[in-house]
Amino acid sequence: MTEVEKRYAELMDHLPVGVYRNTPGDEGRFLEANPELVAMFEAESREQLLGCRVNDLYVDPGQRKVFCEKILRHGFVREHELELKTLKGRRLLAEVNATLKRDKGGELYIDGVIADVTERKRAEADLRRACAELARSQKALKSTMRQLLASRDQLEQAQLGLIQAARFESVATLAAGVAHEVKNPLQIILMGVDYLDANLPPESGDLAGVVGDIREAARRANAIIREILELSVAARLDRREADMNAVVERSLTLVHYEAQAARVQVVRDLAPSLPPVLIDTVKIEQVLINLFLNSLQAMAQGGRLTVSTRVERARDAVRSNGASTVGEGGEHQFVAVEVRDNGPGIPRELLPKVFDPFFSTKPVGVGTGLGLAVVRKIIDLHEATIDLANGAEGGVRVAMRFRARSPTTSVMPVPDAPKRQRTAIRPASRKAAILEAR
Amino acid sequence: MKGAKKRVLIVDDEVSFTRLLKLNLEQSDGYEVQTVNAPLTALAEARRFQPELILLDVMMPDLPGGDVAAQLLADPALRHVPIIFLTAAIKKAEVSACGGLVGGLPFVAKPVEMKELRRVLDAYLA
Repeated sequence: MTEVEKRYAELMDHLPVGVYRNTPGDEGRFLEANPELVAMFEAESREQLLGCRVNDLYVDPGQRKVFCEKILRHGFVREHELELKTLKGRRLLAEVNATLKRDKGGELYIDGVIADVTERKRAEADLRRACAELARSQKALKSTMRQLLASRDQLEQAQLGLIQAARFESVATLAAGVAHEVKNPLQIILMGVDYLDANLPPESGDLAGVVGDIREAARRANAIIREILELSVAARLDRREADMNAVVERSLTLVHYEAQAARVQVVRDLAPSLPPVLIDTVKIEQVLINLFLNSLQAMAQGGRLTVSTRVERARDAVRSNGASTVGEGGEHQFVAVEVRDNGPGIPRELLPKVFDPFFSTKPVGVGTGLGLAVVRKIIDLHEATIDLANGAEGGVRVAMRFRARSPTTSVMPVPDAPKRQRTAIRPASRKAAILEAR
Repeated sequence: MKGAKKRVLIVDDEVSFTRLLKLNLEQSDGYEVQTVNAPLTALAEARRFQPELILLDVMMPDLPGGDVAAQLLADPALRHVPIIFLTAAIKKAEVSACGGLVGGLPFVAKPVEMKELRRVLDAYLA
């Protein structure tokens, strides 16, 4: 062996990749193999490896056929992956770079190098799995983030609502305490005014006017106090089954004279045979009267007040603790009440504030700013809904929805409709009289 | 009503109120009014005055109106005298919602104007 041959032999022996020469075809055999290749295929010796068929080292001999066809067609293969097995049966993934050669006698042979890439491929597969997992996690994270952001928005809304409710409650409680204390001095003022009025000399001129002004001021103060107290005591509901149409009719009767005086035409559009609702009729009458009077005041030059009722079906629109009418598919039955006027409506920027306590669009001294706050509170206590908006054809449209009770699930007795008459006295038992002055 | 003045006893710790209510009622000549500002003396004053109707405040120091009413109703001579509670502790809407009676007794919510109060008194004293 020449010096050059020795150097090449040494190079071959120490290369950390398998170097081989073999023959193509089904019966192809190794002609040369370096020690790395012998070790790679777990052969006892170089001779053992040279003694076996190349096909025997393939997990799938079909792959050998493909490999040979490829190298015979192109004369070489680059980075060709093969699934091979050692002589002891251990599987390995190999990457082959090989060239087709022809010897002096015209016989074909292949020179190539094989690298065991099992670990690298496993690592790559692991990496791919990790990447996929990461992508999934990222997607899940994004989804979670979206949910978190949505939850945060909801939380902020709920917080705002709570703050508003707490502020409302504390204002209402404080105001109610003050209002109660104010009633007694107010009573003294009214008694004094009554006395002065009865004892004014004839032709008293301005004196009578002054007394009248004081009386009006005291009445106004009393109206404010009454509504403040409504805010704090509205929680006491006496709910019974009732027919909403009858409640609407009674409420309309109570504003009959005001409607006439304002030259407002009242239009009833009441659906027949409404299912019963579980309400405090006195408080719902209070709600309706409040809405009617608001509309009447908004139509000082006359107009039209329309009240409609109808049955609606919806899913989960309103929470209710009472027995409810559940239709097919989990739908609930609701009784909807709508109050519409054709007044000037409310400026859009003011609409979000209309239910705030002490907010009023009426001239100073006309409204207390508590009417709609009380309305909202009563509606909330009934677990009903109320929406106030400007109508498509002008005016204000107030829509309320109450959950209906099944006519067959009568839990509470239906009382006789309370007979009410404004500023009227009727003897009751023990010669009692009702004094009602709105 | 002349010649047959109706005797009304007012029990309320607000001196100004009882004074003005007395003035208002008596100027019509139809009523003879006695006022009591110390509820502990209400029973004795009622026995002495023998009213035909008692207007009774609810929230008073020393003795609440409910206790005063219990004393009056326990007295055989006063048991049949109508008692009307006149109080700021209840609202007109609450009074009317229960037919003018709270716990079986008639209530009138303060503040009330004379015109309205007279109607109530007339209904009871008719």
